Amino acid sequence: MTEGEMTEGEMTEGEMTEGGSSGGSSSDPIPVGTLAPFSQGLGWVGPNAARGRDVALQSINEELVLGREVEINEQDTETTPQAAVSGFTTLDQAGVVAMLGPSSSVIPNLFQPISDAGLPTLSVSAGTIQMNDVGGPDAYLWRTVPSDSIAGRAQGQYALDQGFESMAVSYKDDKGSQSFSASVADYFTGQGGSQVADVPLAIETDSYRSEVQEIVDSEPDVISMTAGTEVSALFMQNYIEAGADIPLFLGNDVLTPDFIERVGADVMAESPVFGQAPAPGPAFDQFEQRHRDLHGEAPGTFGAAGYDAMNLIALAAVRGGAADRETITQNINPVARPDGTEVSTFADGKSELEAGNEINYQGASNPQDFNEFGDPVGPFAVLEVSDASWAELTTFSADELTT
Amino acid sequence: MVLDPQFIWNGIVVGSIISVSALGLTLIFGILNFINIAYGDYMATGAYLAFALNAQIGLPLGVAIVAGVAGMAAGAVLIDKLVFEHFRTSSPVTLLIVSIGVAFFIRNLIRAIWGPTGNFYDVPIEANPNLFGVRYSVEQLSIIVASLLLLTAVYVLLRRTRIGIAMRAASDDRTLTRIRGVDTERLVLYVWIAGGAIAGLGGIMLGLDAQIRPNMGFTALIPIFAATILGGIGDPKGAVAGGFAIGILQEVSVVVVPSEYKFAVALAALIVGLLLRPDGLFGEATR
Repeated sequence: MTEGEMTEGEMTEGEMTEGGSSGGSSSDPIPVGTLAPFSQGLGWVGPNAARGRDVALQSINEELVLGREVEINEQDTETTPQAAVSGFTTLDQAGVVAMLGPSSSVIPNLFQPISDAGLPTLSVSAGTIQMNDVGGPDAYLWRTVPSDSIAGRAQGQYALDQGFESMAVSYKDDKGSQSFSASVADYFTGQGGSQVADVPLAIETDSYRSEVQEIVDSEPDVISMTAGTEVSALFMQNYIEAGADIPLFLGNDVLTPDFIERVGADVMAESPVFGQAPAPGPAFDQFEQRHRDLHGEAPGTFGAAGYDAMNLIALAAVRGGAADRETITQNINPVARPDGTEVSTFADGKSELEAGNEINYQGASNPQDFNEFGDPVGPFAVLEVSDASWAELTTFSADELTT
Repeated sequence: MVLDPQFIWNGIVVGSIISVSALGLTLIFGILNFINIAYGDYMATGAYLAFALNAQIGLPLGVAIVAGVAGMAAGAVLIDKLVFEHFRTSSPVTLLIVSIGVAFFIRNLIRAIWGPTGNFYDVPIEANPNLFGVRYSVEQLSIIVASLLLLTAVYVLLRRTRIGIAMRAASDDRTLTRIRGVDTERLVLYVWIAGGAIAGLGGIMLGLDAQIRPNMGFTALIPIFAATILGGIGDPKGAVAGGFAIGILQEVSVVVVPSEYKFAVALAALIVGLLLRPDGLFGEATR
């Protein structure tokens, strides 16, 4: 048990209900930050995650955390490290007690500031391999999405399972996409496959026709292409135009109904296109329904991760009996501990904690079982397009992907 | 290493778009003597007008293209009346800065109306036919044919018509042309109509070949400027030659240079061109 964690016996009745918190008086709302890209290149990530977070928040503010509501302070990273650091400073000075954190492209710039501020941060979208050995209570850092290296293994292993021996790797030229592609290529070549092309995709360009041709000319058995919606849609168009009948793996950012609709359901279904994503967590179905009820639409990518992060922060405060940074930091892992009673909503978790039981939060995006570096480890599904939606082809268990 | 002819074809398509766009930019510069940074956003506006009529309202693509071109021609005149006309006697630097403001306004207006994400015209996405190892699309053929027709038409306009001859005269010396009795304000109007229409067409071509997004014209400005300057700024035939040179160089370069440096290749070509031919490809720079 990490120093500062509270056991069942240590939680007094008073701590389990109200009081004992910092971050304001006992009646003030608890300030929680959200630092995410709401504009520029990854401007779609923030809104998706915030909608998921708000689903959790609705329940949290009905049930209350230590008798208090949670109030969100939202800052935009603008997908740039400079704006991210600025936004982080704003949240830190505003006294938020925890934070839903940003994406791969900026989070490495925040490792030190997060640690210096002692501000518990749960990234809802950073898959970067730079976080593989950074995180956990000592670093005040977690993520509710799996590492790219786990996702890369799923993609690479499926390719190997299909008998593909050579792979062309292409990626949007930013840190997040590079990280994912490197994970795929490392695993694929490490298991005996060969990489025959490495083609970065410029972010601001009007055509990837020549890049697709370069890939086709390298005669790969399979293509791995990682990028966000804009780049992927244009790449898909050029890939289809090129008549390249080469299996294509897409990154998990575009495994959405919107992307299928944008490219065309028929075209996507006819093309040998695959994707891989964390297999939905145990709580996904109820989360999806509540998301539809609240927002009138299905959750987008990272929505479930935002939901899980918000629930974990609130449950950590309830378990610790205080809404301050240190208490939340020391109680994130304990509320997702496998030997606790499984719960998938804040209300159930709060109820169990108040009854003196330990809990194991089962998330909507994945089971949220953290390793020592604050990374969740869970199963991954390989998907293909069928009937205008992403359908599961096969699933790799967490053990298969981590051994 | 054998060069895949597909790269050459891709370069010709991109070169056609750059040539047409550079032609409009250089026409405006020739008469008005300033670099219009908003030109890329004129292209985007033309593309979005056609998109709205085609993909959102459902008009046939041909009708939408004609309306998009006409709409942008009218839009260029309107912007001139609202903005640039008030700075007619200002220095080129002042006009350039004003055009930056216009560019930001247009781009954000597009974002406000159509959103920040990319869009496609209502044309099917399908595998292109293959001829001798080169895959081509109907849209690409149309782009090349349309650009050749336009380039020929502009050449004839400038060489064989009174308006064109007056334009060339004003491009050489606007004051002297006015003294000789030419209504240069009317010429300015014609240039905005022609330049706006060509910008609109260039944007639609770009949207057909790629995707339609708010900053599509702005990002296309780098190769367009490179083509314009390489060909000799103010020289229409130089802009066309520069456009094809830049387009083909950019697309072929991905064989040996990582593709994210495509624009750098355009700029490198520009530097080399200026070192070897400082007055432009045909030696008629800044006419």
